[in-house]
Amino acid sequence: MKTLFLLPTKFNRIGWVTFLIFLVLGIYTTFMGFKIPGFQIYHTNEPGSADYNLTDEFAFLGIIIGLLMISFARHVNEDELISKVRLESWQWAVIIHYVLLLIINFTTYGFGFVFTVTFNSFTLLLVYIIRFNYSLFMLKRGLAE
Amino acid sequence: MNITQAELANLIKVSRQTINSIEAGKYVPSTVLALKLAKLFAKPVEEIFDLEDED
Repeated sequence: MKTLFLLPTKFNRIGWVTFLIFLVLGIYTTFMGFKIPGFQIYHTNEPGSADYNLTDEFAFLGIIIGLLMISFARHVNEDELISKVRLESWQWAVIIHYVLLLIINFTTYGFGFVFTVTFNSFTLLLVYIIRFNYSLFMLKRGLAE
Repeated sequence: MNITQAELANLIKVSRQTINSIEAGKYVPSTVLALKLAKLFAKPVEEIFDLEDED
């Protein structure tokens, strides 16, 4: 059986920590209007024009990388059943992601559209993680009976 | 041959959930796994698995 493109198991932990840290940062940044006093990652443009504040960009990057690490971390027991569960989870994630995207397409406009589509990109990975762990939980429960 | 699901899973290097799902009929194992099972029980594959009517 070919092993898929998976990270070592400890990335599950690292991923969760990264995700939560950057999630807090991201929420805090959004609440403070993208400017946290005393903590901003600046990328200055030409002199005379406004400074670029990259804090929220880094929060987004951190969240995505954290979620990716969780998604692609190897399970303790990687066998063919888990491969099947992974495949089904990804299928669910993709479909739900696109359904939401189409709903967003017709219900938001302008800046609101950009905002919600950005958050929708998390949906793909979140649905995968939730569905994958749910399937594993149901399998474990089937064992206990 | 009397072994538990956990021991069987350990012998063929799969998880207990896999063995349980195969027994419950919820999962069809790959050919490699089916052959490993057959070899372990020293029986031909057809005695352990058979085709359903839908297949």
